[in-house]
Amino acid sequence: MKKLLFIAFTLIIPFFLQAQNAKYQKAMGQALTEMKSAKDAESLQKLANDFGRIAQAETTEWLPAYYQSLSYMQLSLLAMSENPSKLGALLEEAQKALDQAMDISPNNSELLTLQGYIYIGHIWMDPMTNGAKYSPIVGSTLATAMELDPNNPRPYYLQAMNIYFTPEFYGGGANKALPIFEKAESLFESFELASPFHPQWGADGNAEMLAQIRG
Amino acid sequence: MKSILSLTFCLFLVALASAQTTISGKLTDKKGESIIGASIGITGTYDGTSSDLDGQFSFETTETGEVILQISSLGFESQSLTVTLNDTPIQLEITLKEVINELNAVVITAGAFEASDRKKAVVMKSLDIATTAGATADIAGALNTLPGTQKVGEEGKLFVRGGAAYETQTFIDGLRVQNPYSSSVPNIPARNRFSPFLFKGTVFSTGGYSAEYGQALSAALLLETQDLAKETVTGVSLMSIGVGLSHTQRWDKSSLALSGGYTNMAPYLALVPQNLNWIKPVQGENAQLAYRYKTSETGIFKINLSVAHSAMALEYPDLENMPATSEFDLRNDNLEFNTSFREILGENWSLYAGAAYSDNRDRIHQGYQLDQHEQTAQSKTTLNFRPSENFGLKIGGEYLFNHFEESFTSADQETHSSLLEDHFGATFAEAEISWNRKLAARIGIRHERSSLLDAGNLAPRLSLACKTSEFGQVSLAYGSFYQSPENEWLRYQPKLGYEKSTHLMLNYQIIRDDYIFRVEAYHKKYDALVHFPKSEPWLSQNDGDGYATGLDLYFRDRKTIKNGDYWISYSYLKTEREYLDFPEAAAPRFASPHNLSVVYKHWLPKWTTYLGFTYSFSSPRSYDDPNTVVFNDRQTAAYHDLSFNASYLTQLFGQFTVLYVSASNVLGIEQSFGERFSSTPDSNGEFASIAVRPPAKRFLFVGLFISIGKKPDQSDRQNL
Repeated sequence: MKKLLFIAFTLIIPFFLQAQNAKYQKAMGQALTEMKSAKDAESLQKLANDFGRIAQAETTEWLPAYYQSLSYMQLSLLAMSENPSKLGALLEEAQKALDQAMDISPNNSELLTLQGYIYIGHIWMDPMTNGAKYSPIVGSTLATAMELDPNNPRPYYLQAMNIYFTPEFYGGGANKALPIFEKAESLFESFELASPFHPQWGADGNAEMLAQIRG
Repeated sequence: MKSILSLTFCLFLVALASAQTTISGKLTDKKGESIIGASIGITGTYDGTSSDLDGQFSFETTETGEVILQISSLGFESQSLTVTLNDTPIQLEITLKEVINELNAVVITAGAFEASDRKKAVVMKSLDIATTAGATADIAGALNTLPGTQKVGEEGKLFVRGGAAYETQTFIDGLRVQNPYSSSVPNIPARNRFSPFLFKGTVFSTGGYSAEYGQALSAALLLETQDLAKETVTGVSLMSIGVGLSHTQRWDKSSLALSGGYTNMAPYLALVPQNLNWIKPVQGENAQLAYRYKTSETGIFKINLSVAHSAMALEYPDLENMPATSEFDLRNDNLEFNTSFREILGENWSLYAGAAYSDNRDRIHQGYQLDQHEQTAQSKTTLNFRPSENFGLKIGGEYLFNHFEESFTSADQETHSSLLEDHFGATFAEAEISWNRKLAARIGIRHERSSLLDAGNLAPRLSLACKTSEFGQVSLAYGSFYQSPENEWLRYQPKLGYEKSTHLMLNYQIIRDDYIFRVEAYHKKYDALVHFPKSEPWLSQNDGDGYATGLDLYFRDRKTIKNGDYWISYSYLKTEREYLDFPEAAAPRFASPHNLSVVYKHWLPKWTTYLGFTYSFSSPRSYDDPNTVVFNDRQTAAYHDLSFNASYLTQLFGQFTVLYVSASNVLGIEQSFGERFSSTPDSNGEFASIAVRPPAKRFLFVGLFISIGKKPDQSDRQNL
C-alpha cells in the first residue's frame, strides 16, 4: 500500500512539475508575443496584469515580475503625454514589481537597468523637484548595472538617453550622448540572449536615436 | 482497497482534466462606474484576466474547491474573496474602494501654507523661499509675500493677521526657537537667524494650527531640517557683506556639515549712502554644525548647532534729550543647539524625541547699560499611532525651562536687575479621522502649565475639511491659543496670566497642476491681553482685548507663461485692540488694512539665469502722536517696493558657481514708516520725535557662491 502510494507520488510529481513548467513557458511566450505589439494603455495594462499573475504564482522566477515592472514603465511613458496625473502611481507600481524581482534575483544587471529607468521616469515627471534627488542615483545605478554585466547594452542605452535629454549646461546634450549610444549599439550587435524570455528591448530605440543625432 | 484507490485516482485525474468553471462579472467603483484594466485572478495560479472597457471580465479555470480570488486595480484597494469552484458558473458584482492618497484625499488646510518638495500639492516649493526677490534668502522675507502677513518695513519680522511679532512662534524640528531673529537696532529690520537652505520643509500656519504647538497667539512657523546631506562638497561664498566657507562630508549612513562665516558691513556702507551714522558697522562671526545619522532604513538622528556673535555701534538720536545724539552700541551672542530622533516603531507606531538648548545675550549701551541674558532648555516627545488610513492619534508632551536675567544700569549708575524663571510643561493629544476621501477632521486638546504664571490652561482645537470637487475643497478651523506675556512686561509685573486668542476660519481652495487658488476668511478674538496705564507697566493687568477680521487671497500659476511662474497675494485686515498703554481700542501700529504682493520668477535657459521680481504694497498704518489730543490719529505713508534679483549659473575654475545679485526698491520710491516719540515731554511740554525711515534707500547685495566637487544637475536652477 505504502509502496503503491510512493510510486503514485513519484510518478505524479514530475508530471505536475513538467506541466507547471510547460504552463510557464506557454504563458510567458504568449505574453511576450503580445508585448511586441502592445502600444496602447489598455493592452499594456492587460500585459502588466498577466505578468503580475504569473509572478505571484512563480515566486522563484524574476522574469515575470521584471516584465510586469517594464509594462508599467511603458505605461508611464504613455501617461507622460496622455495622463500626467497618473504618472506617479504608475511609477510606483513599476517600483513595486521591480522590488519583488530584486528579492528573487539580487545583483542582476537587467533589474538595476530597469531601476535606473524608473528613476529617470521620476525626473521626467517633475524635473524641478525630483532632479536633485534622482539625478545622482540614476548615474550610479546604471554604472552598477554596467559593472554587473559589462556586455549588457541596455544600461548604456539609458545612460545615453538620460544625457541626451539633460540640458547642455548641466553636462548633457547630443554630443556627449553620441559615444554612449555608439557603445550601446556595438553591445546590442554582440548581445547574446540567455533564454528567449530574457530582456531584449532597446536596440530599435538606440538605432533611432543614433539616426536622429547623425542626421 | 486497491481498486478503490485507483478509482479515486482516475476520478481525480478526470476531475483535473475536465472540471472547468467560468468566473465572470463586473467591476465598479462606489459611484457605479466601470473599472477598466483591473486584474482578476486565482491566487497561486495563472488563471485570470483583465476587466474590459465596460468593467466586465470572464475567465475559465480548471481549479476546484475553495480558492482565493484576487482583484487589483491601480488607484483602488485590492480585494480578495473566497469562492468555491464546482463546475457551476460564478457571476460576481464587485465594488472596489478607491485608495486614499495625497493627491485625491482631502487635507486639512485652513490656515496653513506649506513649502515642501515631497508633496506635489503645496503652495510653495522649499526653494521658493530662497529665490523670492526682496527676501534676500530670508525666511520671514519670503513668507511676507504670502497672504495673512502685514509688511512692517522697519521690523523685518513676521506679523500675522493683526498679531504682533511675538505672537508668531518658530519651531525647528518640533522644538521652540527662543530667538529666531537676529538682534537689531530699533528701526533696522531684523533677519531670521537661520538660512532657508537648512530646511527641507516649511509649514507656515497663519492660524488654527495643531494642538502639538502652543505659546503662539497668532501663527506657527514649522521648519523641518534637511536629512542626510546629498554629497560631499566644499563651498566658498564671497559677498558684498562678508565671506563664508563650508564643507559637507557624506558617508554611507551619516553626514557632517561644518560652516563658518564672517560679516562686515563696513565696505558696503562706505559705498552706499546711509541715513544713519555708523560708528562701527555690523560685524559678525558665526559657525554651524549639522550632523545626521541614519539609524535604520526609517530612523534618523540629527544634531544642529549654531553659534554667532555680532556687534554694531552707531550714532543714534537720543529721543529723551533731543536733538542730541549718542552712541548706541549692541553686542549679541547666541547659541542654538537642537537634536532630534525619529523612528517608526512596528507597523502602526512612530516616535519623535527632541531636545534643545539656547543661550542668547544682548548687551546694549546708550548712556545706560542693558544686559539681557536668556537661557532655555527643552525636551519634547511625541508618539504617533496610526492603525488605519482613516484614523491617527498623536500624543505628546514637552517641558521647557527658561531663565531670563536682566540688569539695567542708568546713566547715573543706578542698577535695577530682574530675574524670571519658568518651568513650563505641556501635554497634548490629537486625533485625525477621515470618513472617506471626502471628509476629514482633526480634533485636539492641549494643556499647558507655567510655574512662573502659576497657572494652567486648556486649549481645544478643531479642524474640518470637505472635498467639494476633484480639485476643490472647503476647510474650517476653530481653536483656542494661549501665550505667556512677554518677558518685557513680566519683569515689571510677574503676577500676570496667559494672553488668549480664539481663531475661527473658513477656507476654500483649488489646487491643480497648473494653478492654485485659495481664499480664506477669518475672525480672531483676543482676550486677557497685557494692559496698563501709560508709562506704568508695573500696573499691568490681563484686562486688554481686541479682534482681527480679514480675508486672504492667493493665486499662483506655474504653467501659463513658459519658464515663468508667478503668484499674487492679497490680504484685507480690520483689527483693533486695547492693550499695553492704549487708552482705548485702536489699530496697532503694525497693522495695515491692505497688503498686496506680486511675485514673478523667470528662467532664461540660454543665459542660464534666473530672474525674480517682487512688488509689495502696504496701505498706511495708524500710530499715535502724543502731541495731539486724539489717540492714534496719525498715518504712515503707503508702502511700495519693487525688488529684483538675478542668479547666473556658471562655471569658475571648472567648479559650479552661482553669481547672485539682488536689489530692493529698484524704483527708488521714498519709503517711510511714520515717527517715534520720546516717552516724556520736554520743557515745552512737547514730545520729541524722529522720522522712521529705512537705513538706506535701497539694499544691494552681490554674492559669488562656488561649490567645489559638486556635479551640476537639473535642479540647480532651483538650488539658489
